Amino acid sequence: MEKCTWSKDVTKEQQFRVLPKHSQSNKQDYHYDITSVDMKDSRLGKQIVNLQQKIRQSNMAGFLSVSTGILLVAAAGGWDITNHLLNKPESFFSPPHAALYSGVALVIIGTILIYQCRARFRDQESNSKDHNRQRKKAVVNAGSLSSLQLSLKLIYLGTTMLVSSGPFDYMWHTAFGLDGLLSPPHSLLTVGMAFCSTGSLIGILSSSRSLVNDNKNRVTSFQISKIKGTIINDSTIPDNSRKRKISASSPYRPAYHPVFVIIGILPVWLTLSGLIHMATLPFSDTPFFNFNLNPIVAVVIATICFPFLVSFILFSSFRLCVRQDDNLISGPRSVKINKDMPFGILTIIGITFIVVNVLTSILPNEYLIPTLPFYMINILPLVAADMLLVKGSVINHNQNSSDKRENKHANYLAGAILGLGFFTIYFPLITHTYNEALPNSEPVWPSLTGLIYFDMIEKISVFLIAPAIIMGVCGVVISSYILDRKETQKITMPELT
Amino acid sequence: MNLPVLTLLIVVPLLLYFSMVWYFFPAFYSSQSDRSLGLPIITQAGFDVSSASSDNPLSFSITAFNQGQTTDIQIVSVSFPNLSGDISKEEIDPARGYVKVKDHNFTQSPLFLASGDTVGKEYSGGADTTAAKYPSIEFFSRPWKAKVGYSATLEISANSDGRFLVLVKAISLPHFDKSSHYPQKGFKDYQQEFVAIYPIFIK
Repeated sequence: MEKCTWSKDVTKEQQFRVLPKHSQSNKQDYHYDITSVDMKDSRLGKQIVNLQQKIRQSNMAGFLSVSTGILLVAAAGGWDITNHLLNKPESFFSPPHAALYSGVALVIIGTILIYQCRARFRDQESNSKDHNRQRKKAVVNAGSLSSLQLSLKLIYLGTTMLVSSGPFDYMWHTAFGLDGLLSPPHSLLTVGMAFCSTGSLIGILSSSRSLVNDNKNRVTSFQISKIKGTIINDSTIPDNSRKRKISASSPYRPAYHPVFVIIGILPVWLTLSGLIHMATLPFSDTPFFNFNLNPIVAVVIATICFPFLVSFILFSSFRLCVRQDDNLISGPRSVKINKDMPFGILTIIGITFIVVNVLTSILPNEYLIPTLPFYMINILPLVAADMLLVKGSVINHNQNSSDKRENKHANYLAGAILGLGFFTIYFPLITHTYNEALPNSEPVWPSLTGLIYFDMIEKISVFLIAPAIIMGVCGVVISSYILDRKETQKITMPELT
Repeated sequence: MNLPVLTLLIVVPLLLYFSMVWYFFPAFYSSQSDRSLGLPIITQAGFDVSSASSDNPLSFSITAFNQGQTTDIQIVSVSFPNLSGDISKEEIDPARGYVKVKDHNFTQSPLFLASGDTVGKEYSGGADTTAAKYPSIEFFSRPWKAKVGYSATLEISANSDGRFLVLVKAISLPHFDKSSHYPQKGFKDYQQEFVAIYPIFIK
């Protein structure tokens, strides 16, 4: 077991200090224990646990609704682009538009749910005069809700942008007639979607881990009475003079629930892909404005951003589902972790993306239906990268023990594989971006998209290999940095701050 | 899992993927190069009368078919060298003439083009452009299925005496060869595209 000290008397950097193990227990857990005269009451502890769980469960419904809504909006957006390319007759209630409006409605419902849930608990707590309740509020707010603040801000801001883009788009059409793919209202919509999906992902992860913890270790997840270590905290709780003992015990840090990760991360992937498409596709030349980028610049952006995004999203999804058993703690830089690698999550998310693309970009164009076998072969690099990460990214640190460490080279290799797959994953829309930059290019008619693409792949694939590998590896590096930093923060900076 | 098996399990799918993506599929799809060739034809076009007075509007009807394969887009263009300016609205200048679409069954809304508007030329599908010299209406359907016909009826107010011309043509896009347009010979308009001429004498 570990002991942590945290005091205002020391500098901020020294506030959290991990003391050596002194327990016989071989469970790899960690505990933040706060001693308090008031909080030794286990009934109060249970109340806190219940309150936390209520907040998380209510918020979770809202986050899932927002993510599902953005997923629907992003998929409908892709479908609408395809219909525009095919120039199918459209009306206000054409199927892609109807799906888009349904998605926006889901986002609004989710945001209202989250807001109401927050408001209800705020009111409940602010009306309370009871001393214990005040303390409970302080702990609950600091302990479980602080990580939600960012997600809430992003969702509120994103939803506002999403909703206001509708009237803005109407005004733009009224003033300038037909608009292109990249226009101020469309940008507002897509950036709003990016904010919403990212905020919702953070919220889902925050709530998901807690819920999993609660389910796995309902009783011991937040015990008050058992003292496992010591944190002296006088910075957030009004009564500074008291030592508080809280055991935020978890026998292991479990993975996020894969279903939650899929629902959370897929809209982020689709939305960010939409932003890159919006910037790089040559569909923004209208009588009033020409927002099309220079074709070479568009190709450079696509070649940098797409492999990075594929690798970043898929590697992150894998990492988020890694179950970590921590042999804590000898300092933030020397965390020793046993990881239980889950096979399949990366592949499933990749396949889901492929299915969305098939439904929205390939099947609506009858000429592309014969290319389905080609497109489905994108599953192979996903499976290979998944297997490499699961089997290859963990090596036994010490052959005589069960300790394992990450093999970063395997991670980089997986990133390179995922990056290399970008040109086929983003078929068929990517054809327009690269075709524009080729000399003597012919117009990409729907019936010619496949022919132009396969002609192009022979010409340009050799130039894409190096940047795709580099950006794929970058995706892994950045993802590892962000997620490891987040984990380190969780360990070294208790949420009580 | 031992290393050789693991390596095999990772390397084999990758080899399969790259060989299929870079070699097999490009070669396979390029060999299946049945480009979808539309074959546009105007089966019926003309005025409902052989001569008319300038006080009464004329009725002009047109029907076009795609006798080839389903194509991305097929345009039927009807142009009016005797008119000028914006012909879409009668109220703009009734004395100068106007054209109304009385009915049509094309899948897209007709597009009115005025003199000076940018239009494609030489069957380029918009890649090469020029400025319109006289007004026209473009009817189009996307896609235009094989063996399907569409028709339209126009109300034309010439508002001038003498010989009044209506030029008609149809183009299938993507444009591959001379079978992708109609007519395939005859008089060429300012877009360097063949047109069929339908005259009427206005008294």
